[in-house]
Amino acid sequence: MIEMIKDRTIERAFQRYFDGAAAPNVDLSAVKAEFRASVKRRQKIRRRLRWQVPAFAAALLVAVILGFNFLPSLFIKHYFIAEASAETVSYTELKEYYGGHFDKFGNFALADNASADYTLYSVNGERVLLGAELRLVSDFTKLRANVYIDLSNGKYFADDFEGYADLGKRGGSYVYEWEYLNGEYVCRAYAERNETRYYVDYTAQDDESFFEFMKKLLP
Amino acid sequence: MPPLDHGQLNDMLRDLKAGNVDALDGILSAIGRRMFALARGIVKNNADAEDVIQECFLKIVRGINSFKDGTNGYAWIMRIVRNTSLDFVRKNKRTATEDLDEFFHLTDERYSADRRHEALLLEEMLQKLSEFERRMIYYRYYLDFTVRDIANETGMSKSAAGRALLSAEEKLKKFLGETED
Repeated sequence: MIEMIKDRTIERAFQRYFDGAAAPNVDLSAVKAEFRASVKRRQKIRRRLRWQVPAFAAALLVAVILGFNFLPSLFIKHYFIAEASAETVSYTELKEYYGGHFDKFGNFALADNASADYTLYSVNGERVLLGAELRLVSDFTKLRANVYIDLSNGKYFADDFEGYADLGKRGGSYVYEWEYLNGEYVCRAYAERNETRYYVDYTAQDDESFFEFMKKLLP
Repeated sequence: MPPLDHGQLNDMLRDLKAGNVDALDGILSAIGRRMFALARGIVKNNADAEDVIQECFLKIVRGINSFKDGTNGYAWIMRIVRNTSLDFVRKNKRTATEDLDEFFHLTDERYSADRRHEALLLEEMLQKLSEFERRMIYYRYYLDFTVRDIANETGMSKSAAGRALLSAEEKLKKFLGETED
């Protein structure tokens, strides 16, 4: 569907309306301080990762010399989703690439009251992650879910998901946490199935549909 | 003030994502008034609305990594403002609604005197619309929702949402035209 363009007359009227409104008297110094601190933390993580590479190489050398064979986890490559190349794909393309592996998303592609967007993320030309942004409006709830599925068999790790595997609550075969935020239930979850890792960010108006969603999502 | 430039706003968000703290001032300057107008419409007073805006900026810096480049930055921010405002009202044990009967009343003592007349006219025209039509205008022109967003929000089909928006726009435009005559 072609998106409707805003009506110019109305847009201009609102522009003038907003221009005459009072500017908010907001002091951003505390916000800036927090932001600076978070940027520093992020840079520190990156620096640490840069140091880890030679450290891993040294550890590998030692392991080879000593004849150990326990270091596959040291070869995990780290990245941030924002840094990965993103390619938007349709459900049909997803089926083309991965066969029936993601059939569970089919309902979202077909239902009138649901929509889904899929993004494939690549690092160094290698597809590492599938992101599915799912939305559903029903009589009972309105939900949004971002499901990320690792496609790299654990060779790559998105640092955005740090801490997901250690979430506090156990929901059967997955771990999760939730909070009530802005009138919605915001949940995070992590699961592993057949060596595939699932990361879920889920937001809904009710506190039940999350469990139903996880049941349907996981094989 | 120049009209809202979505591309420029997205550039600021990109700068912020890259760690440029000055982008925050740019965002406040570009859409602070609109953010304030939306927050004030929901929380109903200036001081609370300013607290909400402060909270929104915290949420923006905390969530900037989840902002997807190439998506609508203005709508992303306005969604934060809307949710934060509704949450503020709930926390203060008031009923959180977006009561659009009382929404479009920016013209208080802080409103620019030389624009007041024009603004009052717009508010008057908005009051002539039905609540449903006002809501369509609110979604599109305050929150920058797409037709798809409106459909998601209301549970209507996309085509029904498109028709409803068009009809509300036509009616408001007609009223605005009458005031110019």
